[in-house]
Amino acid sequence: MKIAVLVKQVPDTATQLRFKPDYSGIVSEGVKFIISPYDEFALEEALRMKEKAGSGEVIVLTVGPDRVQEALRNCLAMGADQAIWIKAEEGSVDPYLTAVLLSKKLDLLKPDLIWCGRQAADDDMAYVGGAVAEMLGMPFVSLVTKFEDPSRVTRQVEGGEEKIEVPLPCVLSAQKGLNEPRYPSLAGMMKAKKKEIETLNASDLVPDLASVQKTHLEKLEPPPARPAGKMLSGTPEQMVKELVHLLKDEAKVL
Amino acid sequence: MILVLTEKRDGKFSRLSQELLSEAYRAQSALKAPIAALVPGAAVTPDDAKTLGGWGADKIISVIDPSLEKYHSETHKAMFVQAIESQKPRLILLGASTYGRELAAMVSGKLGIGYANECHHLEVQGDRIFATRPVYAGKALARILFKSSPAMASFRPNMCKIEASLPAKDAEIVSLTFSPPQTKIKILEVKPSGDTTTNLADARIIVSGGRGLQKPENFSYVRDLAKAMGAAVGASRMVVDAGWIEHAHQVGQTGRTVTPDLYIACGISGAIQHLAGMSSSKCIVAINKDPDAPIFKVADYGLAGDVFEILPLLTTAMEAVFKEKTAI
Repeated sequence: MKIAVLVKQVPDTATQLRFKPDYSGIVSEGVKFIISPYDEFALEEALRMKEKAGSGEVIVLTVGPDRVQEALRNCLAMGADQAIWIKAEEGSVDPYLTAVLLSKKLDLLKPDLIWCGRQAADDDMAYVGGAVAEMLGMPFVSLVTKFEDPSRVTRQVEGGEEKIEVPLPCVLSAQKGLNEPRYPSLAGMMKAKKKEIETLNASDLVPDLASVQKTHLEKLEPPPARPAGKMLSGTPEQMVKELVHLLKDEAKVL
Repeated sequence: MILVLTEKRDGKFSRLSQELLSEAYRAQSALKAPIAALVPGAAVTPDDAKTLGGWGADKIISVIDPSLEKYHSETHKAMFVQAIESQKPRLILLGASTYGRELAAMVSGKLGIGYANECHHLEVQGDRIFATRPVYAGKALARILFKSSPAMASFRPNMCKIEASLPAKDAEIVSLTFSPPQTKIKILEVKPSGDTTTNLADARIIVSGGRGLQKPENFSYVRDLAKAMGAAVGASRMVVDAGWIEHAHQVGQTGRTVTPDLYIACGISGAIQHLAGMSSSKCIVAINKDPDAPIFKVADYGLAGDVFEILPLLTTAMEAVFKEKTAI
């Protein structure tokens, strides 16, 4: 089985962001980048499927600037067979264009199954999986928490879970709980160094990138600081009494 | 037209539907467009027309089909696509629920519609529409310009202020005929968790526990307070990873982002990933032994003290408050 995994490189979730002076984005120098955590679940599940079947191929794809090669190397070190880098300048692609670029390449690859994370940990759009599925005419199942085979997929819904049967090819998005991603082994890392990353220019897939975008980032800025709060004092009894009074009469949330 | 996808909960239009219609109402004067409430599923009653009309809808687009009474991604997508193609809205609003987010990504990809997920608010300037939304799990706000018409935006519950005193009116009902598509996905079984305390997305009040509770059994302190207040139960990543409580309760960057009216953090120090998931709550209370814990930086009210002393007292006090409320 040929399994494609869509990954995104994002700033480590513990990173303190620094903003560019013109608020056009974040300063990426000095930032530690990682594979978006949900994408790791997706890759892990693809690798397990291949191992269980005893054959198959796992191909990871990403869109982004030079720095994203490191994320692809890590995927190769975890055990992916092939990595494809769609090269695009920092900030030059919106979510829709990202989905267009990926689906153009996926259309040529013809995978049997596509895994992605439920959302990227940077823009939290939860977008690319569903959009790519539509562009390729495949069914899409989000928030998968357990995968036995395509006839037995468990996914999270509001207030519970659903068991679903989905035909291949399809796109599945991985939710936390699906598995525990492995760490790359030393041997895996050595092997990954020697593997070639297939590189394409975004503009080779879509000639006029700007015209395909559906949204434009006008500004990125820190959220307004919350006004300083009150520290209550006194005995536990006094604090609780004061708190109930404040919640009722000042915050008016009771 | 501004098209608002509504949803019913237990036979009634959800509060989120009202919030979305209020957001549409605020965009209406600048866009000079009527507001249409899209109602899939059962037939619309005169009461529905009054309710949605009073919330700001000029029109109701009623799509009646038994296949739409329960969510199925392919069926709902086909309905949504048909409504958008036939009504040609300038702006589309929907709830950022599990279903809404899935639906929006598919419909946007299919029709090439610019989309912004989980917005804080919209702004219309002339014929341009902007959305402001949190990114990097709330560590930054992005202002997005939509380059497409229509534009589509989703909102979590509790983000859009409700317009309280709109004039009473009956919305005009328009029916769309719908033939459900052949579906590829088969839903074999739906298992409700039976645990309403995991419904973090809709909760008005969330009581959350962290490592300061010291051991899994002590989560009962948090559950007791939540029960007294009819609240959902949240948890920090640390205690979820330690197996004290299921992942469905996790608040933060790899859990749920929540926006309740009241968030009570008990024994949570406030790692940046946790703060990211809850700092948009309207009112935050923090109870923690360490007065220097980062959670106090985002708290409206801080109680530096022993959770095991404070929580039982607070539970008793809240039982009295909520008993009084139900008595009224």
